[in-house]
Amino acid sequence: MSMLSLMHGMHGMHGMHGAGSGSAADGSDLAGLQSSTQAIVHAAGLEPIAAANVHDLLPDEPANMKRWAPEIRALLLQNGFIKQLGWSFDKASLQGTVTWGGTAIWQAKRPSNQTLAAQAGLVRNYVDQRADRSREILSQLGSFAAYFGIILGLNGPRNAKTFELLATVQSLAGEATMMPKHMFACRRPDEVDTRIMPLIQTPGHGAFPSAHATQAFAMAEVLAALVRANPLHFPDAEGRIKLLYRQAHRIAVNRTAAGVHFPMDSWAGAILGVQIGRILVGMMTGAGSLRASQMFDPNAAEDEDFFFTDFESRYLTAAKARSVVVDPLFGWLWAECQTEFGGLRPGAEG
Amino acid sequence: MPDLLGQTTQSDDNLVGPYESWMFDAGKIYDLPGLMLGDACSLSCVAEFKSPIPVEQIGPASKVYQDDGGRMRLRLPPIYAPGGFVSKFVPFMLTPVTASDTDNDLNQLGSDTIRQVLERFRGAASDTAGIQGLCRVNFPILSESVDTQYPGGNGTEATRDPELDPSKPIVIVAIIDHGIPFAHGNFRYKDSLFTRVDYCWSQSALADHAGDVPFGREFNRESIDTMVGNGKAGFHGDEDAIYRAAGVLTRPGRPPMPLDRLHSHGAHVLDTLAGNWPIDIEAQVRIIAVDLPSSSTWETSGFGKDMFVLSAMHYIFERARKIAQTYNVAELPLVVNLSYGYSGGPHDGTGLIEDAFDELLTARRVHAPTALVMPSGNMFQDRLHALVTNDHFSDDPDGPNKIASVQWFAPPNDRTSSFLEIWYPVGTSFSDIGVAVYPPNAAIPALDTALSKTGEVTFFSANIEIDRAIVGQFTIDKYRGERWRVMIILAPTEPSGPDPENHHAAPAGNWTLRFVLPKNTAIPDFTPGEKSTPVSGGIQCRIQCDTSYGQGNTGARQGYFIDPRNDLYGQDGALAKVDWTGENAQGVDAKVRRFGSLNGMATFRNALVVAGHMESSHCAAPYSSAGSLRSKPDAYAGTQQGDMLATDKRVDLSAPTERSPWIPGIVAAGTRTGVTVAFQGTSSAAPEAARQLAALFLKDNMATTANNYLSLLCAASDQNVPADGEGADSKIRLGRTLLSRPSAR
Repeated sequence: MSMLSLMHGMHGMHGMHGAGSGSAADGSDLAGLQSSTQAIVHAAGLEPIAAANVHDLLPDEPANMKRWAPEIRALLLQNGFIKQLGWSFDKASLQGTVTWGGTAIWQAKRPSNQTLAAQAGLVRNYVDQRADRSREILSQLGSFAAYFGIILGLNGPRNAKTFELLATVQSLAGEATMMPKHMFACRRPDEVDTRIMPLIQTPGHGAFPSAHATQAFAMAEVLAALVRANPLHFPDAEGRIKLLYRQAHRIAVNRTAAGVHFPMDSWAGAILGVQIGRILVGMMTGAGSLRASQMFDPNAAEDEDFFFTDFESRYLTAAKARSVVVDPLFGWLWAECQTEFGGLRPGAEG
Repeated sequence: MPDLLGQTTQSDDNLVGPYESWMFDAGKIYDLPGLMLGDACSLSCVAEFKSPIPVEQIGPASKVYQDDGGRMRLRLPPIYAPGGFVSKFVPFMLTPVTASDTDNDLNQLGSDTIRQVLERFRGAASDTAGIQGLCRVNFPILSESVDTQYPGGNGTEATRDPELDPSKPIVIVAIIDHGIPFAHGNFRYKDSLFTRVDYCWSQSALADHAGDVPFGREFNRESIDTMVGNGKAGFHGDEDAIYRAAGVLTRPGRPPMPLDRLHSHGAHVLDTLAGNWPIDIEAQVRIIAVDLPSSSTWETSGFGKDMFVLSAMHYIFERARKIAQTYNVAELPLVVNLSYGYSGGPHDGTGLIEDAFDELLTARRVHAPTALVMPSGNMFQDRLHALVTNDHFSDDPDGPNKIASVQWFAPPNDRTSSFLEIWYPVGTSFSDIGVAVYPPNAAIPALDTALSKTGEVTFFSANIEIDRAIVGQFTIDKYRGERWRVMIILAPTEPSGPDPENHHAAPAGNWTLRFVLPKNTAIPDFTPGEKSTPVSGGIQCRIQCDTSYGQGNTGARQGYFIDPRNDLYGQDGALAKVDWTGENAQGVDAKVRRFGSLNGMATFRNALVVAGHMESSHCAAPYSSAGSLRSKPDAYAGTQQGDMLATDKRVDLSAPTERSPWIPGIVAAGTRTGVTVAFQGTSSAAPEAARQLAALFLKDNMATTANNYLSLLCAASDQNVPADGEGADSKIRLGRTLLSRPSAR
C-alpha cells in the first residue's frame, strides 16, 4: 500500500485506499488486540496441530483474486498490462511509438517550439474559465472515478468492483504515459508563456501526452464496454455512453484551463487512452479489438484546439482491427463487475 | 458585389434580417436543438409599416397563409388603440393551423419560407401601408402556450376593487419581467389575503384556453384571489400549488421556468417596485404585470424579445385603460418598469423597439402621466463596445488604402452563436468602408468585402466558411432603411449540433476585423443632438450579450474586444473607471469603451434611465453602464480635451444596487412569501426610481414634466448632486441625482 501510494500519489491509485477493507485496525486497536489475545490464548492448549484437513488453495487460479487485497489485485493487473507494453523514440525523425504485444498502438511526432508557441495561445483562451472549472480541476488532482460514477449511477458499496476497475484503469493508464512523457520531453505551457501562470502547481513531468486525457478516455472506453455488455441494465445506454466520452473530454480540457496542458497534449493522450481502453476491454472479455495505429503529428495543425466533435469523428468512430487475448486475472475482475449490473437481472440470481 | 466566399444571398429589402437569416438557415443546426422547439411552434414577430396602420386593416385573425402545405394563421395580441391612436409597429404571431402540420415544425422552416410568409403578410395587411423593410422574427412560442380559443381583441371589461376608495388618487405601476410571483404576499393587502395585482399576463404559462390572451394565461384580481383564498377553488395560500395550477412551473419537455426557484429576477424587481406599500395608500397603487417567457435561452439565441416586450406594453396600456374606465376617467397615471436590455442596437434612439415605445408613450401622455423606467445596464466593464475613429486608421504601405483593425475574442466552450453588430456612421454607405474578417491566426481573410461601389441592395448575406464548412455568417443591411450595419455572427466554438461534416465550430481565439478606407477619405465624426440628428461618430462595434443566465444551461460564453490600449485596471489597482484617451499615451484613444455601453433598448429621450450606485459610497457600481461618447476638441468645436459630449442618451439618475463593496447586492423578495434574496445589477435600480416616481404621481395626478419626469424626481430628492468629470461619483455615471432606498418598507 505504501509503495503504491508513493508511486501513484499523482496518478490515481487513490480510489483503492480503503476500498473493500472493512476491518482495518488502527494503532490503539493493535495494542488492545495484543493484550486480549495474551489473556485468552492459554485456553487453546499446547497440543501439536494436525495436518490441515481443509480445502487446499488452488495455485495460480484467477479465483484467488478474491482473497487478495484490492491494492494487490491492482498491482497484479498492472503488471499483466505493463509487461506487454513497449516504447521507442527515434531521434532522427523525432517520433515516438508505444507498442503493446510488439505492435505499435500509438505514434506521435514531437511538437516543435513553433507549435508550442501556437498552442500556448490556445491555452490562454481558456484562462477566463478558471473560475468556472476550478472546483473540478482541484478535485481531479487525484482519482476522478466519481465523475464517471455519477453518469452511471454508481454507488460505493454496491459497485465496489466497478470502482476498483476504474481505479486500476486510471492507475495503469497514467503509468503508461510516463515513458512517452520522458521521451518526448516537452515543456509545460507556463514554461513557454509566462502569461499562463497555472491554477495549480506545474507538474514535475513533461506535458506531452496528457496523462489525464489518457486516463479519462481509457476509463470512458472501459465503462462504455461495461454498459454495452449489460444491455438490459440501462434504458438509455447510448446517451450515457455519449456522456462518458464527454466527461473524459471535459476532464482533459480542465487541465488546459488550469494552464498545465496544451490542447495537443490532450489529443495525444486521448488517442492513447482510447487504445489502452480497448486493450483492457480485450484483456477482460476477448471481445475488444485494437485499432491500427495512426501517426499523430501536432505540427501538422499547430493551432488546433481539442474539440470533442473533432476527436469523436476521427478517433471514436474508426474501425477496429487487431484482436486481444483474454487475461484471466482481468477476466476475473470483469466478471465481478458484471455481477453489479447484469447479475441483478430477474432470473439471473443463483 | 464584394468578393466573398461561401453561399451568398441578397435582396432589395431586409424583410428577413441578419438574425433571422442565421437562425432559420445556416445557424439553425447549432442553436435550435437546444431550444426545445419540438413541434408546431408559433412565430412571434414585429413588423414596422411605412405609416400607421389600423389593426382591422392588418387582416382578420382567420387569415390563413398557404405555403407548400404549411399553413399559418395570423393572430394579434391585445392592442392599445384608443380613439384615434394608430401605430406603425405591429406585434403579431403566426400559428400553425393544426398541430400535426409537420411542415410548420420550426426545424423545417428556412428563411425563404419565413420570407414567403412575411411577404404574404405584407400583401394581405394593406395595399398601401407596406412594411418598412424590417420585420423581426423573435423567439418561437411553444404550442402548449398557445390559446386556441383567443378570438382576438381586448377581452372583457374590468371591475372595481372594493378595497379602493374611488375618491382618492390612483396610480398604476406595471412591470415587464420574467418570473413574476403574482400570488406573493407582498402584493396583497397587509390585512387580508386579497391581492393588489389587477392583471398578470404570464406569457409562457400553459394555455388554459380561456380566450383572454393569444398565448400564455391571464390572471386578474378575481382569479388570483380565488386561487390564493380558502374557498373551494383556493389553495389556502399554498404558493407551490397555486403556481402549479397556474401552469407556470417546469414540467418534462418544457424549458426551465423561473418560478421553480426560490428567487427570480421578476420577484425581486416587482417587490422593489410594488411590494409592501404603506397601508394608508396601498390600495391606491394598482399593479399590472407581464411575465415574459423565461429569458434563459433567448438571451443567447439571437431571436430577441421585441414582440413579447411590445405586446406587453400594449397589454399594460390597454388594461390600464380598462381600470381607468371603472373610475370613469380616460386614463390614470402609469409607471412602467422594464428591467431589460441588450448591448447591441444603434444607440441613438432609433432602435425599432425604442421607436415603438416612444410612439406609445407619446400617445398616452396626452391623457395622463406615463413613464417608462429602464436600467442603464451592467456592461460598463465588459469590453462589448469598441469605437473606431479616423485616429485609428493608418496607411497601408502596400496599397492605396488605410487600415484599422479590431480584435474580437471568441472564447472556447461557447455553445451558442455570437453576434457582433458594426454600425456605420450616418451618411456613409457600406461600400465606403471595406471590411475583412480574419479567423484566429489566419493570414488570409475568411471574407473580404474589398471596396465596392456596385449594387443597390439593402440586404446582403454570405456564409463565413473555413475548409468549405460553415462557421458563421456575414451580413450587410440597411437598418430600418436608415443606417448601414454589418453583422458578423459566429457559430458556437463548441457546437453540439448533429452535422459535423458541414457545420464546424467557429475557431476560438482572436478574430480580427480589418476596416479599409481609401487614403484620401475620412469617416464622419461625432455630431451633437438627439433623435433628430443621430450620433454618428466613428464605426461603432457592439458585441451582443452572450452569457448563461439562471437555470437555462445554454453553455453561453461572453466574447469581448481586446485592445492593448485598454487598461482593465487603473493605477490604484482597482478596475479602471475611465477609458484610455489619447491624452495619456500614444496619442490615440483606446477603441474599447466603457462609456457608450448604455443599455441598447434605452437610448431614446423619453426613457428614464437609472444607473446603480453603492449605498456606502455614493459611487457608481463597477458594472453600471453609462452613455455618452468621448470626442477630441477638433471633432466638435467648443469642447475641452477629453470632454464628454452630450451627443447621445445618458444616465438620468441612479439608485442603490450594492450596499457596499463588501456587502453585495440589494435585498428584496424571492418567489415565495417570506423569502428574501440579495440581487446585484441595475435591474434593481430602475424599480426603485419607478416606485418613487409612482409616489410622486399619487401626489400630482396630472404631472406633466417634459420628456421623462426626471426633473420631478430631482426636485423631490435630497441627495447630493454628483460631481463633474467622469469618475465613479460623476454625473456621467450617476445622472442628475441619487435616490436612496428606504431602510424599511
